[in-house]
Amino acid sequence: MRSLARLLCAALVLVGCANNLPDGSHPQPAALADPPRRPGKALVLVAMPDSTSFRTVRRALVDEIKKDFDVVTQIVDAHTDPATFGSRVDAAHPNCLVLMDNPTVKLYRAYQKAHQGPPLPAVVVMSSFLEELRGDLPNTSGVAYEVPGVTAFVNLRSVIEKPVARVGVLHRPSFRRFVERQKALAAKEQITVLPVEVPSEPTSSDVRAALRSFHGAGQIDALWVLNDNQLLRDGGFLETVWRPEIASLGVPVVVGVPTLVSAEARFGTFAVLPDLEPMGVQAANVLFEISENGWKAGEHPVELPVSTVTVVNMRQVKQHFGLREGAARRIDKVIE
Amino acid sequence: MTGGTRFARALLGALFATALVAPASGADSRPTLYVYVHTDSKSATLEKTLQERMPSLTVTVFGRFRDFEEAMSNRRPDAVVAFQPLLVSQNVPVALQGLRGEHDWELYVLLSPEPAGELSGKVIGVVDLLGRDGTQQFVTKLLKTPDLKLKRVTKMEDLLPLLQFSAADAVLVPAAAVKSVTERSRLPLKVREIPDARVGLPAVGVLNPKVKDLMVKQVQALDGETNRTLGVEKWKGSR
Repeated sequence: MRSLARLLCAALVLVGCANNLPDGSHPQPAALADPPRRPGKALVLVAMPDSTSFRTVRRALVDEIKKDFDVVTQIVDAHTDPATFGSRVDAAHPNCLVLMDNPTVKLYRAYQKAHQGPPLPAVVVMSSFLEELRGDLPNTSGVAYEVPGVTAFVNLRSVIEKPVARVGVLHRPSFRRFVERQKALAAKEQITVLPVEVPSEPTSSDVRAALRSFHGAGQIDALWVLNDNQLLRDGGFLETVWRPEIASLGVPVVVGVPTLVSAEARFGTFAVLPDLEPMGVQAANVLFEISENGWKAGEHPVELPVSTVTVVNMRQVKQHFGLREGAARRIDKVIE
Repeated sequence: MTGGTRFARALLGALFATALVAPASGADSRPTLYVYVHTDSKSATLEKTLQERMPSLTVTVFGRFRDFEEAMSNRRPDAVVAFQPLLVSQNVPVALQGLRGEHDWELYVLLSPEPAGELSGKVIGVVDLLGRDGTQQFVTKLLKTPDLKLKRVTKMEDLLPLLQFSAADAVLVPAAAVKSVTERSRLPLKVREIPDARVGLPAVGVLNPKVKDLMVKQVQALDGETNRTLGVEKWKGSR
């Protein structure tokens, strides 16, 4: 449990950036307004932080479900304590909750623990490591936030001319199960994931040594960098530890944050991020399926995000890896 | 400048750019054309291409059914390019019908890693063509199987992950799209043809008769590559 908490604290600090794809595809939303309540309609309570990314997901979700369900939205922020959250849920008396991001899930976990009786069903979206969280959250399902490695690797393979069959990844012990799942999924596409584990609090030497291990037998075709701030830390760490090793490996670097693909970052080749509107649609579909199954959310598997956005550092691709014919039309954002 | 500073500036720059980007607005007297078709291209790329090819029109390409549906209710366009069943469901009269070869329809097939077998009770992945209820009716009719469970996705490219994650037993695609899926994947995908699974190709529906001639002229002038992106080879006038 402790390692999970640590993992959640440390991982995906960069998620906020990942959602802000600078291409104008997610316009600034208008003021939040819930559709009017109607008699006899089941109620869905959406609990979420108030930012553009979360609003984008909410909008797509509400568009899908508003014909069949009433919706009330509760904004959660740093000042929302478990008591306030609980009283809002009790006052709304919803049939189901939609919970966005980890602090909101934490509030709901406290609510569940404080209440007797069967837990309210919940659909979780935009929260890190939902599959791990779920063990501690009865009657919950949702859509995982992490883009599966296989999605990124297959996209990369369809964009660059060089083969992508062996992908190296560094991870800390707390990410081991996640990486194992990615390994199994990638194998379906005949891609071998080669994980190298570093300590929970890796030093510069640990990261350097792990990256250098990819020089050995069976050179990798790509490097996958997880959204883990303990591994990436800051610009200085990237500059002194990661960049020299990446340059020496000479393989495309797959990341989960668009800013790491920018020309200034001189780091990633290819970023794959969740596409937020389709993620809202996917969450709505999970909600529909749960409602059709008597609100038994716990019986619904956590779904992996099916829709992604690709950001490509085109200069890197053209100079070092070759661009496949016709690939440009499948890229969402090109960094020249 | 240190790498750290450069990195921080890059992050700030990206966030600033996001904040600055806002949808263009303002009066535009050009006739409006909405496009809702599922292709291998990104919506933004297709919109840019179509806008360049048809400068006399204001072109909007929708990537999500609900956005298209909402725009059709609130900001009616002068014309629409969509696949035929969608135009029928929206009661939009067809002015031009897309053709491939001599046909105004295309066959749909199922793609699956395992032989699909009996379809009853199976989970089928499909691009959202007509909204939740409409797509369910469309697919159950096409596959002649009433008790299917659908996984609707927003884009053609999202069908492959459904198979990779074992979230669907099979995906329903136009036969012409099979190549683009199988080229990307190493899954041992099998194609199952469905008898009589014919679906109308994209067509142009005109809501404002005053601009019909202009619409027809603009669409008929599209080059071969753009037509192929839209899933047709040529256009035929409807009576």
